[in-house]
Amino acid sequence: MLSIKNLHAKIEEKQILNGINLEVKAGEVHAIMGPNGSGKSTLASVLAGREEYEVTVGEVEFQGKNLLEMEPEERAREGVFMAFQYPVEIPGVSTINFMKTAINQIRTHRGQPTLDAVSFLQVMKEKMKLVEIDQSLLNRALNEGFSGGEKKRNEIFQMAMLEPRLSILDETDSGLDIDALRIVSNGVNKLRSKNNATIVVTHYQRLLEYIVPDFVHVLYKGRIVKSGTKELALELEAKGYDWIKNELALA
Amino acid sequence: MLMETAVEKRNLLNDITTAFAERKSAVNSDQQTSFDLFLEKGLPSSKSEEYKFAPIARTLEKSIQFTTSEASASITKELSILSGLETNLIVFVNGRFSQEQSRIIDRELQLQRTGPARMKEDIDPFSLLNHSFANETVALSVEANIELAHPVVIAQYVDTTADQFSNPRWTCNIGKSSNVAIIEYVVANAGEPYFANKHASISVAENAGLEYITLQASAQEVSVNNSFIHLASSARASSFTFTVDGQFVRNNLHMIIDGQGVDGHLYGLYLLSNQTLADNHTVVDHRQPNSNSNELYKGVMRGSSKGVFNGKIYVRPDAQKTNAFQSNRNILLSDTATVNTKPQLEIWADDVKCSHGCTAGQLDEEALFYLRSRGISKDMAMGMILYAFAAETMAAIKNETVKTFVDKLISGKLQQTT
Ligand SMILES: Nc1ncnc2c1ncn2[C@@H]1O[C@H](COP(=O)(O)OP(=O)(O)O)[C@@H](O)[C@H]1O
Ligand SMILES: [Mg+2]
Repeated sequence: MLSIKNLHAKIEEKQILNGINLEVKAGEVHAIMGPNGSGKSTLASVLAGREEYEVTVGEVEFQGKNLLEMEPEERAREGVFMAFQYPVEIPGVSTINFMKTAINQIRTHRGQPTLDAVSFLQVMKEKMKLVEIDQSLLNRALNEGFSGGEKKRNEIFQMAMLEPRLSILDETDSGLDIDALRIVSNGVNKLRSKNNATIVVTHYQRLLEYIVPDFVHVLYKGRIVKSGTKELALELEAKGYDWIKNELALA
Repeated sequence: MLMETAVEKRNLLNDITTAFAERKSAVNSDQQTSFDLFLEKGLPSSKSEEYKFAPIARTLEKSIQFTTSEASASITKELSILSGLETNLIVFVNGRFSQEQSRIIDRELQLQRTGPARMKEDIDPFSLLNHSFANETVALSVEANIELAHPVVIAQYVDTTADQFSNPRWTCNIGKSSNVAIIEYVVANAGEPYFANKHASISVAENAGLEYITLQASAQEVSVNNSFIHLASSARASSFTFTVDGQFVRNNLHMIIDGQGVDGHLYGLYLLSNQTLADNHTVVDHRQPNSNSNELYKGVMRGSSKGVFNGKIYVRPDAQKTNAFQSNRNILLSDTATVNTKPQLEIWADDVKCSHGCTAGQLDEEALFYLRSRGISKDMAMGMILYAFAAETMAAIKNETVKTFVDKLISGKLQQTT
């Protein structure tokens, strides 16, 4: 589904990604771990199409198409979804109106009829249950004055609404207490299927107890320096990132 | 020998003086005084503190003829632009009140035509000019305890094939505990520019309410709009000024709070493109204690447009326990658009709460990316962010039909991408 080859990217003359290779197939969950500043959010942002980042070398193919040529909105319509590490507050735009616009633009792109008010509300109610989010929150301006946990829950709600093929969750666990973490993970797990894939970006192993990955990759200084199965996450937790740094220094 | 070949520079004051002389027989002594005062002051130059960013003389020089030929203007466009809304309609055609075109549907709305009297508030050179050239003062009034059923539309119609210079003058007295909504706009025929130089004065008696909406949406417009709102104790007033087109639009809006327990709101929105210049000068004058004023002006500028905001708040020595707030926010969408914003607070009382803030910035790129990353096109995402920004200035409009009309005007303007 997603094939990243030798991806290099920089921002403001600062080289951040230094040759990423990653293959993600439908049905898989990949975790990307790594110390702060290693480039995890950069990778997620480059995949979502954030324009400040410049791809200098490399290719990204998504469902057979060149992802890097697409505008951010095209990527979303093709089925890429990124849950932001820091969701943006947008005063004056309610989540409901925003989602209605988004879902209908995506449906139009996919050749599906747009949803009228009634069927939209129906879908919305169903997805709200999934992430246990309250409608009063969705009536409010997008993320404005939301707590950290509410923002993250809103991200997963949007993901549920838009039914992406590839979801990239950037530190969705940060700022969540244990109950919220359970709810959010439950939501993600219920949305998993053999047709879609998930990339979970996280700093800690904790989230991976709830969203169990098929593969774990360690990103360090803009490269994937180690890949393995879910046991790698446990090992990282036990030994800390210094273990990786030392191993690399020895090699 | 050197040849002098300079083209003679147009002398505006001469032109205006000639036009005034032609009307001499129709002018009263008060008006002569106003005209003398106007000549004394002259047209504001770029050195004038009040018109620093508004080169009005240059604009007039370029495009306006000061004839007041009394040529009969013809009406070729619809005067009631608020379709589906029943309103009272007061029409000025090229600055002269038109009985024929006007219609009053609420019996409680009274109209009197009087010789134009000089008012204390005729201080600005354009107020003086308006008074000098005004045919009459149209004095509207509503007695006490009346809930005027329909809004009062005040339409200036300009037929530029007759004249380009229009000087309507009107007043409105709202009696104790009455409520009135006023909507003001200009309709012009022919594509020539015109100079609409309006003077309006509204008095809101004790416990009465005013909703005052100004729509400025004509591409040909050069205008100066002097508007005064006088508020007595416990009066409530909200003014809304929407500017979406024009060549040069200058608004001098004064809210004079001359009573206690007053609640005054001033909303403004300027969505500018091309070469439009919109200059909002507002004065909120707190003369009595225990009143509140709240001002919110917002601007979105594209192309080479220019926005100017100057907000004066006076809190006089007697006006203790005043709450006065002001905010001006601007989004610049091009490198060649500019905005000049200046709050000016003068506070002589000591027990007051006042605050002001102004910002000018680009569109929030983070917000734009967030919306796009959910599948929303760039244009639409921009429209959503700008609309949300703008909507706050019209949210308080009470009349739903008017609000819908304003909403369409603003959405339409925001959908333009140049
Ligand atoms: N907008 C930016 N401008 C300059 N440097 C940036 C910017 N965004 C990220 N960086 C730098 O890129 C590196 C990687 O950041 P990031 O991808 O956010 O890491 P992670 O998500 O793994 O913590 C860091 O050194 C960070 O300081
Ligand atoms: Mg990060």
